[in-house]
Formats: sequence, structure tokens, C-alpha cells
Amino acid sequence: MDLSFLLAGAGASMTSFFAPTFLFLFLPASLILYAAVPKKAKKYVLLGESYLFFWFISGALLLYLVLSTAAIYGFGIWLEKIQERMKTALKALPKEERKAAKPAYIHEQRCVVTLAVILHIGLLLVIKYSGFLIENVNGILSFLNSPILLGTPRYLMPIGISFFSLQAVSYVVDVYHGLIKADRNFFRLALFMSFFPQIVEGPIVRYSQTAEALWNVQPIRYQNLTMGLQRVVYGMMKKVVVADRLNPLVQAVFDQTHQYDGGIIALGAIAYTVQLYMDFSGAMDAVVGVAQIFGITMPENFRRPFFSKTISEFWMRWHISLGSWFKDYIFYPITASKRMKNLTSSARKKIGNHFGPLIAGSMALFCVWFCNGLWHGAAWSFIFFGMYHFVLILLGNMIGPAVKKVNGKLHLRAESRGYRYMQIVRTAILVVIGELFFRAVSVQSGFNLCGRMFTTFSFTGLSFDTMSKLGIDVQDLIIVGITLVFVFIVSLLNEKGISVREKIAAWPIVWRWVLLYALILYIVIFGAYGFGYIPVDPMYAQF
Amino acid sequence: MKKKVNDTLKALVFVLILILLLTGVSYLMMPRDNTEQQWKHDVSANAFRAEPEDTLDVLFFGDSEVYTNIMPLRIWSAEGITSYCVSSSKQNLWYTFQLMLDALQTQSPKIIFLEANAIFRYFTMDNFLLHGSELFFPVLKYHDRWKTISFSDLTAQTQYTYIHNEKGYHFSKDIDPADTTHYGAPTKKMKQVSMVNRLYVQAIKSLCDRYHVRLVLLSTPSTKSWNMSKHNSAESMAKALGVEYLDLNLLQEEVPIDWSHDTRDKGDHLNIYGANKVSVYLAHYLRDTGLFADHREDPAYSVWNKAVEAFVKKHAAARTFDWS
Repeated sequence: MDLSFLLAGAGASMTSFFAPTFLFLFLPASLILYAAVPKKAKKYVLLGESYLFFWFISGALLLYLVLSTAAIYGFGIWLEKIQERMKTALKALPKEERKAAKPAYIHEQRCVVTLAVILHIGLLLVIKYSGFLIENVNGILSFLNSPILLGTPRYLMPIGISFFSLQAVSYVVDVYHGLIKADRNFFRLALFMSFFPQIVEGPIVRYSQTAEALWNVQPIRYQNLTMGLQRVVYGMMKKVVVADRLNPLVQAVFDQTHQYDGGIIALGAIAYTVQLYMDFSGAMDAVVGVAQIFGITMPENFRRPFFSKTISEFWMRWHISLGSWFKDYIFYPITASKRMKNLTSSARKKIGNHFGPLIAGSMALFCVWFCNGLWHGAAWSFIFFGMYHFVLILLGNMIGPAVKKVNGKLHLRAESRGYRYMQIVRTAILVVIGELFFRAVSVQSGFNLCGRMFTTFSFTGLSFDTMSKLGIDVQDLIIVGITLVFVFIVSLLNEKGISVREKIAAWPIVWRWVLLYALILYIVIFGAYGFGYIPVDPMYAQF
Repeated sequence: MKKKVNDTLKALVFVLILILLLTGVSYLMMPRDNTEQQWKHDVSANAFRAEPEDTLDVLFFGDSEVYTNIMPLRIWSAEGITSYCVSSSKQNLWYTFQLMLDALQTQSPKIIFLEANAIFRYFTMDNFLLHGSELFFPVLKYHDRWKTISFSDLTAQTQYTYIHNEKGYHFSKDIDPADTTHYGAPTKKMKQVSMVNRLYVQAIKSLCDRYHVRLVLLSTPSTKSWNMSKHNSAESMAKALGVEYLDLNLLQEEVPIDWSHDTRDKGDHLNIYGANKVSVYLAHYLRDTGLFADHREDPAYSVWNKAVEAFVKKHAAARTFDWS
């Protein structure tokens, strides 16, 4: 009797929240079961469903998640015990001796945190990056004509490890900082780590953001159900109508790099940036929507990034949870370290108040962007992508006062509409160039594409024949254009502080339904799925 | 409580209206003809739709092994039995099922052959759900027609006009010899068939039973797509279903494929010379069932004779063997 090992890993396609298996089988079944059980049991059902989801997408690799949860459970309690011992011991000591006694306990705690970080980040490094490291070592060895080459290990990597590992580290560090109490309830911690809507592509949430809400889950409410489903449908439109429709064009431009001239490469780079945004933000809409059905408010991972006026602002609006993780757990700890503080104060004296703090800041910024690049994948193109943003942000920080001066002399008002638009367009162009390197198969290929984009820029090669080679036609571009205009209008209204969803919620039911039907039929008719289309996996799930 | 009932009612009404809308849009998006311009995919496989009602005695379903290895016109010329290759590249069983369901609306074949290669072709749960839903809401399948649809299409009556002269067969005279070193190597192993595929084969059998059609599992000669573990598995499945399994790979005397000459691509598919041998064998097999009348002299079937003439005239390779 072969039960195909109870479908372990058989639902790999469920990594996409818009896959029929997830949308029409797993999600409804989860909701029905969740709604059917008594309130006290709901949290356990949600945990069971989350583990089941992970089992379906990753099979036995679920063990990674369970072990990671068990490890941080232990580390959290260990840290708290040290903190309690420290409190009791310090209380027992006379005031003047307390200061001298404290560092030993802090050191002990740091050792525990270091152990937890090494365990999680180290495991991530081994699984995700050892192949890349060995590949490069072998490159050097063969350059040196060495007869010995190292064998490349192959590890099975559970989906979402880059996300839940960072969540695990943040939990332990937050306990260490006393921001949260160690959780003595393993199941609550397990639910925080595994909540199925966010396990594949994030957002990377903090314990303080969702753990309690997840544990005190509420019954499904009609309002939450309808609002959540609306958000899922909106995300589905972004992914299925725009991102997946642009996929053949992006693949053609980036995989057959030598075939096209600059204009088409630029079109491909823009298409990829749009595809990535629509794919990832669409998935985040689904995450927020599904969580809302369960009554959980997920932090937003995007805040209309293409309205950004600078690159640093862009990264405060794009993949917000990753950016804030790097800020809180890499940037601040580095800049706040004693050595860096000393460096900053001495630099202030020597090179002034603007450039002084920039030295320590730049070192921290370098670490952030090196890690950011590497987090996205084990390849030089990702590291280059990180360094590209590091340089841009650093330059922005350095030349800020000079730009202000020049603007003053030229009588340019930074607050004026024209200047702001120029900044937005400039930022978008820089982002597109960065994404070009991000998508290119190698750094060399990225430079090649980028070079040709500028040196052979023309659309003379763009014909119906070329478009057919690119796997796209005029109708595709029209549908993408219409959908993007729709998304732009919604984004613009949100940017102006108008909550489109609240406005729609206030409409009479007939109009609300008409809008929803229109949106569903729009996806059904204009979506890139079924015959002639290859399903596109969620792009951030691979990171 | 009242609110709960209200909300539930609202949700039900919403879903009901959505079903009605999808049904309506499905009707609008359905192709009105089976021409390449309207149908877009697997046009030769879908050209059976334009065949006059109840004129096909036998239908062959499956992947490229069918449309390359079986020549319905040769079966006709040998025994006067009409048949059609409703086959497409890498055909999955969900697609086989859809095509079979459609074919049985207008044709009353006595035997349906299912090329066994398709039962080993894995497909995902997503495919199962999406393509299963296409049976209820064809818009999910034909939605891409928005690109070419005209206003007159929306109101036009459905009329299939495209007839494939070669009855689904894909001609090739290329010769690319095969390496037969491991061909037919004995094994007791059984190639695994997924749970979903087993369900589909069962559904196909039930469909055939409902329409009183005999189902036969068939393996056509291929050194690449066939092996003994597939044979063992197909044989066991046929036994469980209570249907015949005809494996031409084991009938090397009756179907003497010359692997240095009769294959177009190193043994994966046959060329016209190999297809001729397979088709003649199948024609005799069908004749021996005693289920079929010879239509060659029937004026109602004269188009088949003309189709053979046209085929032979068009392809010099077809003139290298006897068509009687």
C-alpha cells in the first residue's frame, strides 16, 4: 500500500499562494477546519495546519523548522535564566560592587546569543553558501594549476530557511536585549515561527509583532474574510496578469543576452523590475490577506517603493521587513559598539560633523549591504547588487550637503514638484539598473547588458518578429499597461493617505460586488496561465 | 445568530453569481471553429471535431507516440476501418480525458486505444485542479482567446470546419537509427504510476463503459519511451481494470521494426516506414475483433479513399510500400 509517503513535498507548487492547490484546496480546507473547532483549539489547529503546509512543500525538511524552533526555545529560556541570576546576584551585592559584577553575566549572555546566531546563520551559510564558496576556492586552485579540487557538497534546503532563520535570530537577540520575555510556551513560539502564510516569502516578523495575536486567535469574521479575500484577489491580479505575463520577455532578454540591442535590453530590465515588484508585492498582498482572514494583522512589506526620491528611501519602502532586520540586528549593533563610537567621536573632531559619523556608518552600511546581497543568493551578481546599493547610498550621504549648495546656487527648490519628479525618475532608473545586475546570470553578463543598454540604445530592432521571439505581443503589453495604470492609481491614492480599501468598504454592497466580480473576471480572462504558459514560481521563495 | 445567517447567505449568493458569470463568459470565449486561428493548440488532434458524426470506428489517444507511430489512413487502406489519432505532444491524462469526453459526444467508436506512455506522465495537483475546473468553466482553458476574438465571434454558432487530411498522423520520412542495446532488457520492476494518474485511468475506463466502448491499453514500438518496467506496470493496471493490454514492443515478429531504418529520431518515434508496419498490424488486429465493417466500398466513406490518394500523391515516401 503506497501512500506516496503521505504527500510529503508533493505540494511544492503551494509555495505560490495563487496556485490552485493552495487557493482552492489547502486554504479552504484550513479555514473550514479552523472555523469548525472550538475557540480553545483554534491555535493548535493553526499550528498543525502550518506544519502540514510546510510538510507539503518541503517534506522531511520540516525537521529544520522544528529544530530551529526547539533551539531558540532553549536559548530564550537559557538567556532569561542568566538574566534572572544576574538580577538576584546584583540585588544581593552592595551598589558599588554591582557594576563590576555585571560584565560577567553580560558576557555569559553574549556567549549564548553568539551560539544561537552561529547555529542559525552558520547553518544557513553551510546549506546555502558552501557550494558557492567551494566553487570559488576551486576557481583559485585551478588558476594556480592545483591538481586538487574540492568536492561541492549538495544540501537539501528547506523553502523559507532564509526567512525563518532571521526570525529565529531576532527572537533570541530580542530576549537578550530584554525587549521581550522568553516564551515558555513551545507551541506559541512554534506558531510564531511557522505561521503558514508567511513561511515562504515573509515578511520577516518580530516576536512582538505577531506571536501574541497568533496565540489569541479569533473566530473567522465575515468582515475579515471579505477584506482578506479582496486583498488576495488584488495580489493575484498583480502576479497572474502582470508578473507572469512579463516572464517570457524577461527570460528572453536575460537568457539570450547577445541577441538584442540596447533599447530592448532596457525594456527587459524595466520589465524585470516590474515583474519582481508585482510578483513579490502580489505575494505579500496574499500573505496579508490570508492572515487577515485569520484575524492577524501582518506588517506591510512594501510601501509604494516607486514613489521614492532616493535609494535609501526606496529600501525603506521595499522589502521593509528585511531592511529593518538588517538595520536592527547589523547596522545598529555595529554603529553602537564601543569601538565605532570612539571612531566616530575622533573622526568628528578631525573631519567635521557631516563626514565624521559617516566613517562608522559606512562600515556598518557596508556590512548591511554585503549581507543583503548575499542573503538573496550565493552568487557574485547578488554581492555586486548589494555593493551597488552600498555605493549609491554612501554617495547620497556624502554628497548631500554639496547637492544642497548647488541647488541653492541654481535656485532649485527641492520641495518643488518638478524636482521631486526628477528625483523619483532618477531613483527608478537606478533601481532598474540594480535589478538588471540582480537578474543577470553573472556579473560579467550584467556589465555586458548594461554596457549595451547605453551604447546601442535604439528601438530600431523592435518589430513584430522580435516581439514574437520575446514571447510577447502588443495585446500583452496593452493588458500589462492597463493593469499597471490601475495599480498606480491605487498606489497614488494610498500615497496621498486615502485608504482605497476603506473607501470601497463604505460603498453599497452592489458596487462592491461589481468591482470584485470585475476583478476576478479580469484575472480569469487576462491572466497568464493554462495552455501556452509555464507557471512561474514565486520569485522570492528561491531566496 | 441572525447576522451569521445573513453573512452566510450573502457569501452563497456571491458564489452563485460568480458561477453564473463564469458560465456566461465561458460560453462567450469558447472557440466557434476548430481552425488554427480559433483553436490555437493541438489543431490536428482537435480536427476530429469536424469529422461527420458517428463515422470514426476507432480512436487513438495518447502522446506523440500515437501521432508518429499510427497512420489511420493506412489502417483504412488495409481494412476499411476508420480511425483517428486524437493525440498531442506530451499528452497528460487530464487532457486525454477532456478530449475523450468531447469525442464521445459526436462519435461512437467501438474501440478506444490509450497509449500507455501517458499513464506514466506525472502532472501536478495544480494541473489536476485547473484542468478539472476547465470541464465546468471552459473560459479557464480558452481565456487567451481574448487576443483574437471579434464581436461576431461572440454571437456566432459553433461550426467545426477544419478536417485534418491525415487524421491526426504527423508525417516524417527522416531516418535516424536507434541504439537497441538496452531495448526490452528484462526486469521485474514496475514503473510507478501516481495516484492521480490511477484515478484518471479509472475515470477513462468508466467513461468508456458508459459509452459502451472497449478500452485497450496500447504500447507502440519505441526504444526510448518504452521499457519492461513500464510494460509490467501497464500490464498490471490493465489486469486490474479488466482491459486488454497490447504491447507491440513484444510482438517483434508481427511488427518487425527495423531500428536502423524505421525510426525518425534514434528510436523514440517511428517514421512513415515504421508507422506503416504498426498500422498494418493494428488494421489486422481490428479486423480480427469482428467488430467492424469494411467501409472501403461504401460511397458515404469515399472521402477516406480520396484522403489516401492525396496523401500518397503528396509524400513520395508513402509510395515506397504497398497500400492495399
